[in-house]
Parts: sequence; C-alpha cells; structure tokens
Amino acid sequence: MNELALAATVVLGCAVLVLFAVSIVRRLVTEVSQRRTAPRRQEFEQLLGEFLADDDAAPLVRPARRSDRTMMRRVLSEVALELRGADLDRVATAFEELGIVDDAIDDLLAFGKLRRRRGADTLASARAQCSVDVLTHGLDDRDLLVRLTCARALAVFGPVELAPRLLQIVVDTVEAQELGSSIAALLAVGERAPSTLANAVPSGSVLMDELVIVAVGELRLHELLPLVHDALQHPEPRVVAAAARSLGQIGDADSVEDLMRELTRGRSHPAVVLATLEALGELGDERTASVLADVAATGDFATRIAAIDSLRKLGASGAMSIDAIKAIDDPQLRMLITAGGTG
Amino acid sequence: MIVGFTSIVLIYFLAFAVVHIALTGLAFADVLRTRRRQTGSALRLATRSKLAPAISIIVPAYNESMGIADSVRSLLALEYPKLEVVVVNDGSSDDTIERLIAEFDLREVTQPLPPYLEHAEVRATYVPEGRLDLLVIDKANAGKADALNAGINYSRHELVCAIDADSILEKDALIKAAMPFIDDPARTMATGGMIRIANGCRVSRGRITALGMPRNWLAMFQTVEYLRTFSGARGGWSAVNGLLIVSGAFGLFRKDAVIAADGYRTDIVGEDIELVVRLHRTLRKRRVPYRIVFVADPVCWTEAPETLRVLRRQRRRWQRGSIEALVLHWPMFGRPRYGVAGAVALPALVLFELIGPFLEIGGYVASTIGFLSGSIVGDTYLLFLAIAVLYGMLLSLGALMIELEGLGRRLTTRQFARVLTFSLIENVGYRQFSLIWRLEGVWQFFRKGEWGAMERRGFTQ
Repeated sequence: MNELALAATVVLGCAVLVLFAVSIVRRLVTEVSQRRTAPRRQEFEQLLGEFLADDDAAPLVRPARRSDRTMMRRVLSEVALELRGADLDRVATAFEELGIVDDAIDDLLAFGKLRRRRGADTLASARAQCSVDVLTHGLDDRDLLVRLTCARALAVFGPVELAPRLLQIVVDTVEAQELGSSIAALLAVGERAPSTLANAVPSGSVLMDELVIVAVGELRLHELLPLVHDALQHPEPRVVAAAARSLGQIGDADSVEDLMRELTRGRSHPAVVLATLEALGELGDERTASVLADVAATGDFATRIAAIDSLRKLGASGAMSIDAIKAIDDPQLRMLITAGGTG
Repeated sequence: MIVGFTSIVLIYFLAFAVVHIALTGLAFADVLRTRRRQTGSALRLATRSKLAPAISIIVPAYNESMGIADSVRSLLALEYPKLEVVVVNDGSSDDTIERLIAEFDLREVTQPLPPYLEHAEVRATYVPEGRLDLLVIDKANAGKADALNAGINYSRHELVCAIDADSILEKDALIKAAMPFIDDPARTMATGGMIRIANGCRVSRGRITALGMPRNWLAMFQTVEYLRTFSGARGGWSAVNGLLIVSGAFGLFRKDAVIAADGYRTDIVGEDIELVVRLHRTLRKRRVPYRIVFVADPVCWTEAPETLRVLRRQRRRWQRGSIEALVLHWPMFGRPRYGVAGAVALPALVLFELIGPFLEIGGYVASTIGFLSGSIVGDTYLLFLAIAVLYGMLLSLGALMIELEGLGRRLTTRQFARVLTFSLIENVGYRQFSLIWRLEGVWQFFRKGEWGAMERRGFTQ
C-alpha cells in the first residue's frame, strides 16, 4: 500500500505545485496588463467623450502600440452598440482614424479562429466601407461564427445584391444557436431587401421560420403579409404564435378573422392562444369583443388575463364586454376585472 | 482490519480526486468554449431582439425589513428588457410589508387566486401607484418553498427567477443567465448562476460597489469552498447535463416546467435540489429533450455565516436536503433511463456526499488509531494525511484557475493572494469540520431535528 500511497502523493503534490505556479503566473500577467491599460482606458474614454460631443473635434491619433488599439477597440465596440444615427457615424470614423479597422482586417485574415471571430465582430461594429471585400471573403470562412458575423455586418452596410447569400448563411448557421447574431442579420437584410425574406420560409428549420416571421413583424413589412398569413398554418405552434404576434405588430386589419378562427377552433397550443389574444388587442377591432369576452369568461388564468388586457384596448365595445362579463357569477373573473389585470 | 479500511479510504480519496478533476476539466473547457463563442456584441444583440423571454423575479422575504427596499430597487434596475419583481412576504413578524408599502407607494389590489400551485393563504396583494413592474404578495407564514410557489402562481412571465431576499445580482446577471433560454429555447428548462460570498465587499443600496474579501476566517473558507463547488463541480456536471442542483439563491426556470412538476415541495428543507432532481425525473419520463445548465458568468452575491453555530446549522440543513432528494427520487438511482443525472450524478452524490463523510472521517480515526496502536507505520500514516490534504488543494486550485478566467480578473493582488492562501489551508481543519457537520446532517435526517434560521448581519451600510 505504501508504494501506491507514495505514488499518489507525488502525483498529487506535483499537480498542486504546477497549478499553484500557473495560477500565480496567470495572475501576474493579468495584473501587468491591467496596470498598463486601466489608466489608458480612462484617458481614452474621456477623449472619446469629447470627440463624440464635438463634431469639429480634432481627429483621433492612431496609437503606436497594438495593446492600446486593442483596448480602444473594446471601448468603441461597446459604445457602438449603444449609439444610433450621427453618433454612430462618429464612432465609425473613430474606428478608422485609430487604425482599428486595419487591425481588424488583419485579424479576419489571420489563421487563428478566435482572432478571425474578433476581427469580424469589430468590423461589424465599425461599419467601414473599406472592409466590405474582406467581409465578403469571410462569408466563405471555415468557422461558422465568422461566417455569421460577416453576414451580420454585410447585411447592415454591404451591397444589397448580397442579401440572398447572406440569408442563406443565416439559414445554414441558425441551428448553431447564435440567435442574437442571426436575428440581427435578418433584421438588417429585411430592412434593406425585404423581398429576400419572402423566399426564406419554409426553410426546413423551425427556428429559422420563427426568426423570419419575428423579423417581418419587427420591421412591420406590409408587403410580406402573405408570408405571415401562410405561417398561421405552420405545423409548429412556435411559428404560429410568432405569426399571430407579427400580424398584431404590422396592424393588419384583414387578419382579424383568421386570428379569431385560430382562437375559436379550440385545439390551439396555449402559446398560440396567448399570442393571438395579444395580436387582437393590438389590432383593436371592435368586432372581436365578443370572442375575447368568451375567452375571458371561460379560459384559464393566463388566458383570462390576456383576454381582459386585450378587451381594454378595444375602446367602447371592449368596455361594454367587460361590464357584461362582470355579471357572470365567477369570483375569480370579477376580481380579475376589478384588479385591472396584473399588467 | 484498520489497514484494510485505511486502504479503502485511500482508494476513495483517489476516486474522488479523479472524478472531480474530470468535472473541473469539463467546467474549464465549458467556460473557455463559452468565452470564445460569445463575441463582444452577442449578448446585447440577443437580449435586444424580441427573442429574450420575459422574466419574473420571485423574492421570498421573511423578516427582511432591513434590506428589502434596497434589494427590490436594485432588482428593478437590472439590465433586462422584460422584467417584473414579485416580492412574497412570508408572514414576517417585523415590518417588512409596511416598509415595502411606504418605500414603493403600494396600494392594495384584489387579485384572483391563480390555480397553478397550492400555497398558504394570501392575505393581500399590492402594486405600486407608479409604473414600476412590481407585485407584492402578503401571505401567511409557511416557509420559503411555499412563498416561491405563491410567487410563481402570481407571476406573469414565462421564466421565473428564484432568489433570496438578500441576494445581490450583478447588473447583467439575468441577461447572462437567460442566454441558454435564448439560444436553445425548446430544450432549456433551468439555469443556475455562480453564487459568491459578499462578506467583505462594499455594498450600497443593494449593489456591490467594491469587491472585497471577508475578514472573517470562516467566511473566507466559504469563499474558496463556493468557488470549488460552483466553478468546478457544478460546471462539470452541467457540461454533461447531470446538474442536480440549481442554488436557491439564484436560479432561472421555465415556469411551465416548474408548474408541470408541481412546483417546490414545502415539506422538506432542500426544496432547491429536490425540484431540480424532480425536473430531471419528470422530463426524462415524458421523453422531453431538455437541458439544465450552469452558467459560470452570471453572478449572485450572498451573505455567508460568520459563526460556527450558524454555519454548522446551515451545513446540516444542506446535507439533510441532499438526502431528502435522494430518498424521494431513489428510483432514478443508477438507471440509464434517467440520463447522466440518474445513472452517474446521483450515484456520485451518494458516494461523495453521503458515504464520503463517513469514509473520510472514519479514515482519519482509523489511521490515527492504527498509528497509535502500531498497526500502521508512521510513513504510511503521514502519506495518508498528505493525500487527504493534497487532493482537496488540487481541486481548490483547479477551481481558482477557472476563476481567473472570469471575475478573478477583477481581484487585487492582495485579494488574489488571500484566495490562493485559503485555497490551500482550508483543507487542513475547515474541510474536516464541515465533514463532521455533514455527518450530523445525516444523523438529523433520521431524527428529523429542528432547523434554525440563518442569522444575517445585513449588507446595508
């Protein structure tokens, strides 16, 4: 037993020593890098604030050290996500003046996967026209996330003709579960080339179908209403619910009857019922008052809340329906109405 | 016989070390994979899209008058697009409810009793006069699990986040914890985040304003212990979908899954572990594809006990909770039908958490007796003790390596040195004490003893 115990002690002891040493070295490296960048980051944030506040501010100067540019790249990427319009254009200018775009292009062409991802992400934030070619090249990258990020970038500021290809990349990568990037790319494609989205459904992926319908609703694309109507017949409840919600967002008065049919057919998935009720509230058509009142009177708790919330949006006929269902001898319903819903 | 027993314990130490090193390795790989995958903008893009599911934060509060207002204010200010806070006053005997009414200008509203989960009588519900997304439920005292059930019942959103009233969430904790639900909405049923010890941190109005390390030794030991448990073991189990516990201090659940599983059990002390094991069981039985995920990044701060008496009570309660979950779900034990959770994680729980303390303490006693009686020679005795200490150090340092990839970057050198030192010395004394408390927990499970409350000093300064 002694031999076994001795061997185990030696192995464990060595492993402890190695981890101990590695953690100290790791910490020291972090410490040195933090000591160097923290004050410079503070300085840069102040400088950037002044640059953004003043259109006539002097151009930013490209720092010689790459570590400084890396820190600035992080700051600018964070800032770019928060800004819109002219402010965002100023940030894009800053990206170029500081040489960050050049660095990111180098990164995107590098061998390492992580570097290429970082490069693509920075270029997506920087929106520099000079990066379009390299981003287009990135659409063929062997890494799925690089392809998707390049597609997201090009969807915003690349040539519109690329839209079908970008959409195909989103379709190919959607199951990789980078839904933030996927929906961002779809929204950008839909905004600039709405007709492209029309060919995307059915895609063979439930997730993709849902994302496209969500994007159509978010962008309120009236011209793609037939696509959303078709999605009401989709076999997956998630897509049907997204379609109902999108119809409400777009404000399509002609879909009221379809939605009411969905509500009254009695075999809908609970998520579809809730989305349909929400959409009917958004559409505000007084003809729906009696159906909503029925649901409020007979549905389960969550459905009742949604139905009463929607009735409240219908104006006079909704108010009348609420008064009518108050007469029903159901304490839960009466309390729900008195409470003003939970919303 | 003593030599034979000591050998068994040695083999147990090695098995423990191998399994936990593997778990730490899995956790480390998972953290790296997540970091490499998420480019800077991925989180924000995801949560800005309409894909982010709405969350109801359920805050059970019992005699939390001192810090409840700050807690609620900080929760309402969290970075998340769709959020409501549901505070459940569980029959507090102090002025928790009065303070909430005064601080948030609440008015009583009559709410219908939702039908999903059973719980003790609700005396009143309140909403603010303004547009804050806050609902306060005042109910009869029936314990934390009952309060959580009431909160889930009255919550509006599709995800429910169970936290303790004195938990402090990092501003972006919800976004990070919700990411698995956004990325994989169909399969993700629950996520748990990292719990850290807030003792020693500077706290102002329900927010951590400066990181710090506890001055109290016991709290410092727990800092390292939490690190090992969360960064190492839970991350590892999560990587193979065998996570058996989502901490009661911070967990995000799909409401329909919790309701389908009948909510939290109110007749046990380990309601958090039991719910997660039950979710595994019911979802496997229904053949629903699912994931229960530990996300290393979202951080929730909590106050650790600083006295032996309270810590001992807490540990006995936790041990009892683990045994309850095991007994209630014994049919899952070792059965591949229940996936990694049933086939591997539950047997590991039994071996390392229930039998382990007996073996380890028994090993210390037997080897000491053997040494004193001369049946074990001095060298063997020393080797035994060295292995007992070294394997613990190895696991603590492994967890520290993971930590250095995350929040560890924000520690000062002094704080890091303190964590490193305690990672080594907690294995001499503190770990053995906690084993004894766990043994007591097993004993108390069979005796069904009384359980005291956590004594909190409070964060508010």
